[in-house]
Amino acid sequence: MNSNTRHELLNLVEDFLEGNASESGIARLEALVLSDQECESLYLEVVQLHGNLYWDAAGCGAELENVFSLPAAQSSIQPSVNRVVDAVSWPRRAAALLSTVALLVVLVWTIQSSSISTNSDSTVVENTSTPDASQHRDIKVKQNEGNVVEVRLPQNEALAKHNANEKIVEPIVSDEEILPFDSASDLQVVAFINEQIQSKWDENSVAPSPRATESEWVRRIHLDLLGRIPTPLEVESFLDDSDASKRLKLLDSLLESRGFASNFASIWTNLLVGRSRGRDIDREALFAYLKGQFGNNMPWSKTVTDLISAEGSADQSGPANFLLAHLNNEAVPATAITARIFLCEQIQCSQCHRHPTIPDWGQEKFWEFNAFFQRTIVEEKMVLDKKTGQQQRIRQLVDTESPKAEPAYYEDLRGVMKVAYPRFADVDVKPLPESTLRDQLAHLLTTGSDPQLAQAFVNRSWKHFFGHAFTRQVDDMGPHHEFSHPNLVDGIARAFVKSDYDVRRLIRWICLSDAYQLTSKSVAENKFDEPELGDLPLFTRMYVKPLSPEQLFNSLLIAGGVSTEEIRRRGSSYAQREEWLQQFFVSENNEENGEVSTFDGSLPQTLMMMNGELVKRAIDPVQGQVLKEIVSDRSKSEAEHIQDLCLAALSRRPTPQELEAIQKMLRNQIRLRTSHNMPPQLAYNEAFGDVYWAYLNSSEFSVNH
Amino acid sequence: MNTIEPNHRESNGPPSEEFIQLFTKAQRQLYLFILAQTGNAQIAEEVLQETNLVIWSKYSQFEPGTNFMAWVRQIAVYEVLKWRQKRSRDKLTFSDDFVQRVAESFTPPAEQIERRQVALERCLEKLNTQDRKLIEQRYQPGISGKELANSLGRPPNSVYQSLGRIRKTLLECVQRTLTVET
Repeated sequence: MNSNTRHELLNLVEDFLEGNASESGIARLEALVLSDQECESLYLEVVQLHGNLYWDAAGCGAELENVFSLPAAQSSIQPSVNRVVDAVSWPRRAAALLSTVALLVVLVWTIQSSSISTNSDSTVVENTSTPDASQHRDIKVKQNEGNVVEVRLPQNEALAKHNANEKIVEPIVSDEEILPFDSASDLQVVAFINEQIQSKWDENSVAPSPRATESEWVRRIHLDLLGRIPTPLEVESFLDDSDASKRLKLLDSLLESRGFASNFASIWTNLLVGRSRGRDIDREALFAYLKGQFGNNMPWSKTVTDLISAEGSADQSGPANFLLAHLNNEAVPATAITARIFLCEQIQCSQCHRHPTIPDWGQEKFWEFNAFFQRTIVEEKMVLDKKTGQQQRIRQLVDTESPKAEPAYYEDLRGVMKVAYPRFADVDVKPLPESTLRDQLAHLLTTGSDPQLAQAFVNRSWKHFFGHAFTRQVDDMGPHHEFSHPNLVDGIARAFVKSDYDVRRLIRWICLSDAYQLTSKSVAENKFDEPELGDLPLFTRMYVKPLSPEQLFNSLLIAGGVSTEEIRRRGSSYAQREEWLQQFFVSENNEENGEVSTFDGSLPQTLMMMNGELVKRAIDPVQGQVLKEIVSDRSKSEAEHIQDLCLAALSRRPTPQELEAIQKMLRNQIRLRTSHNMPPQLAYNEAFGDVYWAYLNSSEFSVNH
Repeated sequence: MNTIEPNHRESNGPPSEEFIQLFTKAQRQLYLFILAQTGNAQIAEEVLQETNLVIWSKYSQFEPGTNFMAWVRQIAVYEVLKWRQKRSRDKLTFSDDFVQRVAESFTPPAEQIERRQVALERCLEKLNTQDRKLIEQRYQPGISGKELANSLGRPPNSVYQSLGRIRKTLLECVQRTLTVET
């Protein structure tokens, strides 16, 4: 049974148990169960699960069996009869059911005792009262000498002939080549996305939230594409634009910007080697490489090929840093991370374990993948730095030239040493003089019309823009997981492949979709679309995304008033940010080369927001550029100053109630300060600093919605 | 009730203590056995009750020491068939082949049934509160998925989706637990 069959079977059984099965569904269920032993076992397991839940009323009634397993003579049955009454007021199935049984003991025994007729040395019950002649069955219940009732079922010839091992069900194959739209037309791809999302809404009888306001959207698109909030100027010019297609215009101009390239380079650097600087690599070289890739809109397949097959030293070869970071521990981290990042598959557990439900996810899957990295080593040498005249240690990625294939060794579940040779997607690979094992792995990953590489990138991108992927865990698309929108992922992924892995076009499709235009506020018709609770997302509204550390840092810089030029230039602010990030992240050198983060809304992050340098500077009427400019504009009223502050922090204007509350608070603060002999202008400015502090510490600031 | 064939050969008293114990113990297994063939929890319960009536009417035919479970299973098979004949025009039931095959295959030893049930209880405890609550609500006596959806004010499909997901989680958890044990 492969994972698709398993999936299909589980869904069919679900429908059936909930009474939602169609006739064809039942037929398919039967066919699957009859054709395959494993399907049959799975069916029986699900039925037992359902039955046990029903029997115990979800864990409430299990203890009742003990109550009823008392030695049962008539005397002990009597009190049970009263329980029938109890069971009505305290409706637990097991109680009611067993009470009825207990009652029966009394009843049947009475009937039997008073009965007269006898004719029962050998009772044969022959049931011929079938209502329909065509359905005629010959059932015999025969009681033989051993006093055992024997039931003989009618023999079905067709079944007798049927060989249980023979597959009678052909897997349903979809047409692989034909896309239901023309992927050359962006409009058609977007229409396809809209239609697929809409059909899930209809299926689940939910309605989408209304369209987001322009200020909600302008903040969102800046955070998503550039990794920062828009400046007040950017917000205002967008709001004042009366062009009907201004969202499209802004989207295209942001995609072309350097901010986009460095934001995506930063996101992918974090994914590939983590945020902490504990690893012995040249993180900046990797960042610079990725920035070039995104800036020049290189095909994603090309970038992945570079990252997997790169050679050379850390500082000279940017992409080499990915594997330089992860070849420790027998390349186990490299194996796990390559699969997780590029394929969204979590194979690390299969290093030591067999997958509990998917038979073809054994240890060999992990080690055959691992074997691709076995010929690559990290070489360290000392070279003379010409500029400084000092010896410098460099690390570089080198493939060994040994002609014999070096397999991966591992211990299987029984402790037997085994070998694994490079193998991916059922293709065995041998090292060739002109292409290394890693070259060939990259080739296998990036070819075909429907490779998982594309699906994985689509899933990640979708998660980036919507806050939720099509799977519960963005990087767990393994066979045991289902997609919320399988057709949609499949369609976009194939269009993405056809576009030659055009990253900007993919982003364009996503950001032009109707779903991306929606507000994050829920309405009554979609309240329960809450993927946070574990259900698959329906995208009836924009899910609220917490800001990443980089987004927060960049946004605080904008709020404090650093020119956008300074952020775009990978200058002082980049280095400052890298250093700032280190307080939140610690790297681990384990089998998955993970990272521990305290940037999770807990104390360190909260303290940083309340008292950190960045916020302190932003709310200082002298240092904070934005604040200073706003309050020193004498041509504007107090209310207008508040509006400008709100726009600077949250990219929107305050609501009337909000404005009123803030004005009240503001006057109190000014009065308090002047009563302590503070000069009125300073009191005014500082009180505005407090307002700004409140805006920056609001939960609205720290999320993208 | 007309199908009861009371045995009058030696009706000299109520069923023995041993019989009642075997009978009580067999209930869950019997229920699951019937459920596998009918697929509907309520109907399985009805058929189980009919089966129980027959078992009681024939208790004196049971010989202590012989396989009780085998004996009651055969009675259950017969009762399932009777119910199926009543429902023979209903298209939404399983075929004869299927029922027969399932009845033959469903032969877990009692201790395995018990291990599975214990594993399930543990797995239920591991669910988050939200999910556990939903499962408890779904399996309240007399509640169907649709009624549950109505009472929660959620569209049925979204409730089915959640239930499906939780049951899958439970299924995998049980599978894991049992694999670890063996």
